[in-house]
Amino acid sequence: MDRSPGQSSRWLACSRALLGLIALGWELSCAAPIRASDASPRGHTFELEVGGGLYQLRDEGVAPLRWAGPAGQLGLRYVHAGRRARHQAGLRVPVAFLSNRYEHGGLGWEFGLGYQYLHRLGSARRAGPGGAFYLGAGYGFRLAVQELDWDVSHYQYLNAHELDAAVRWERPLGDHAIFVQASAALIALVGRPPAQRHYDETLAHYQFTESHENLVFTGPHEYPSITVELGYLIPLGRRWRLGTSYRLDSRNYFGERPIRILDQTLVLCVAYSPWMGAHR
Amino acid sequence: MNRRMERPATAGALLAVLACSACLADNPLKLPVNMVPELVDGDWPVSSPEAEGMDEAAVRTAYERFFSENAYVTGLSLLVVRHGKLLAEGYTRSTDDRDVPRNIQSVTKGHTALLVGIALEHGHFEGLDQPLHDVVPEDFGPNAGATSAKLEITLGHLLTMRSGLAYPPDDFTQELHRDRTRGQMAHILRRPLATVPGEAFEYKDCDPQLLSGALRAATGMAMHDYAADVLWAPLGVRNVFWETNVDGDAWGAQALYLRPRDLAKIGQLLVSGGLWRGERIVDQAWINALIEPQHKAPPPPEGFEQAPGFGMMWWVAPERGGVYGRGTAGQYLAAYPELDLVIVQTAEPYADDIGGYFAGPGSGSFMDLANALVLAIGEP
Repeated sequence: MDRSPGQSSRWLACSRALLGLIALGWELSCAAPIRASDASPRGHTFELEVGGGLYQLRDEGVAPLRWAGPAGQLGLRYVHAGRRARHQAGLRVPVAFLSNRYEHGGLGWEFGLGYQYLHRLGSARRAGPGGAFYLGAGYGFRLAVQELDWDVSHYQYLNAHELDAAVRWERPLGDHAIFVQASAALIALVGRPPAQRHYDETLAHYQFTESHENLVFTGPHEYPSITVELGYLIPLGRRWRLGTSYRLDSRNYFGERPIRILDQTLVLCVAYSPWMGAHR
Repeated sequence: MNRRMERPATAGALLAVLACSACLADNPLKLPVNMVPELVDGDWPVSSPEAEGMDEAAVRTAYERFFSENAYVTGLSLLVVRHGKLLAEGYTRSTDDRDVPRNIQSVTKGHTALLVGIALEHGHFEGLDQPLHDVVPEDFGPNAGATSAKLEITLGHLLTMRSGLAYPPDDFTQELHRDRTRGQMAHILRRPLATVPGEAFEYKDCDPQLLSGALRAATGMAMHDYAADVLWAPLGVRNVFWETNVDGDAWGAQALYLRPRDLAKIGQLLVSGGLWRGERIVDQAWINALIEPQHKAPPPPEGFEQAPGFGMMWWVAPERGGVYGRGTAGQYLAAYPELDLVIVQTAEPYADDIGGYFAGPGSGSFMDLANALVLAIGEP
C-alpha cells in the first residue's frame, strides 16, 4: 500500500508509541515488587477506584422510610506522600438504585470532592512493626441528590461543606499491607435546599447554585458525618498496586428535614506511582 | 492453613462482617392508633364518639384501617366532627401535625367558592349571571383574543367549571406555576374556547383562578387578604398560608395550606348552613347553592372514585346527602348536613396519587372510610 509522506510519519509515530507502551508494560511487570514496608511510597500516586455496595437513606423530608439499593461508585484520588506529610485529594461519584418496602423506586447520586492533609507521627523513616500512624485534617464538599418515586414532583438535596479530622494507620503484612483510614466532620455548613420541582424546569446548574441556599453552620451534634475505610494493598509491580477496601460512609443531618445516608462500598483500586521518590 | 493464607482470609471475613453489620432502621411508617382529641384553648370543643351518637367500636375500626401500614400509606390525619364537636382526631406520623398547615390541594376550590359567596353577600358582585367581563374588562383587552362568546362567561360558569376555556389542569400547572410574566388573568383568557360558555362541564384549574382575579378586582383586595378578613379571622383559623402567583393573586384552585382542624371548620360551615358558633359567616342560601348538584360528574381521573355529581366546586357524596372536596394525593373534606357530620382526611400533599396513597394490599379509598364512619351513626 502506498502511503503519502504525512501518512508514513504518522504511522512511524504510532509504531514508536506502541513499542514504547510494550516496553513500559515489560518494565512494570518485570520490576521488583514494591515491599510492604513501602506501603506508603513517597512521591505522586494516582488512584482509580471502582466500587459497588449498598446505599441506604432515610429522608424524613419525604417520608420516614428506608430506601436502599445497590450502588456503583467511581472515584479518582491523587496522593502526594513525603517523609512526614501525606496530601490526598479526591473525587467520588456514587450512583444508587433505590427502593423502599412499598417497592417504590428511586435514584440517588452524589458528588464528593475532598482534600486531606495527614501528618505522620513517630519515626518518619520506616513503618515499624506497629505500623505508621498519621493524623490530620481535611475539607470536603458533599452534595447528595435524590429523586424518589414517592414525592412525584421533587428532587431532594443534602449539601455539606465539611472540615474533617482524619487519621490513618497502615501496617505491612509480609509483601502486602493493611490500612485503616477514618475521618469525621468537626464543623460543617449544611443545607437542605428547597426541593426542586420537576415542572419548574430549573436549569442543571441548580445543583451547584441554589443548592447552596439555607446553609447552616453546625457540628457533630446535628451533623454527625464519618467515613471509615479498611483496606488491603497488594503490590503488582514497581509502580503499580492493587487495593481492595471496605468503605463505610455515614452522614446524618438532624436539623430541618432530617436525613440519614449510609453508604457501604467494596472498592477495587488501581494505584500508579509514576515518579516515586527514594525510600529512605 | 498457613499464615500467608490466614491474613487475606481474615481480612476478607472482617470486610464481610462489616458489610453486613451496618443498616439503617426501617421502622413502622405510622404511630400506633391515636384518636382521642385534645382540648386546646380557643380551638374545637372535644367530645367522644359515643357522646355524639356514634358507635365507638366502628369509629375505632375505621381509625385502625387508616393507621394500617399497608393502607392509606401516605395518610397523615383523620378527624371526625359531629354536632360541632371534635370527637376523634388522629395523626399517623406525629401528633405535632395538629398544628402544621399543609397544602390541601384542590379542596382549595371549595374554599374559593365560599369566598365568592361572601363577596356576593357583601355586594361586591351583582350575581352569578354577572359576566366576568364586567369585573375584569382590562383582562379582555385587545390582546386577549376576546370574542363575543368569551364575553358571555359569567361568574356562575366559573363556579360550575363551564367557562368553555380550553385549558387542561396539567397545562395550567406547567405554564402558570413557572411563568414569571405578569398578567396571568389575560393569559388565561387568551386561551381558545373549546365549547360555548355554560354548555359543558370540564374540571379544570383556570376557572377558579379567574375567580381569584375577579375577587381582587371586585373587593380591591387579593383573595388571601380578603379571606383573612371575612373567613379566617371569624373562624379562628391559625397558621394559614396561601401560595400566590406572580401577580400576587392566590391560586384559586390549589395551594391553600391549612391545619386539619381548620379545614374541619370549613366543613362545619357547610353542615351548619354558614354558622360558626352561632355567628353567621356565610349566607345560608349560598351554602345551599354550593352543595346542590349542578350536573352529573364526569368519569374521574385514575385513582379517584366516581362522584354522583358536582355542585359549585364541591363534589356530591354518594351517601346521605353529603358533599366533599378532594385534592390531589388524598386531601379530603366531607360534610354531611343531614347528619351534622364532618370528616377530614389529609395525606402527604405531593405524594404519588396511585403509588403512594393507595400503595399496598388492602388499600382503600377515602370514601370507604367516610362510609364506615357514616354507618357508625346508624340509621336515624
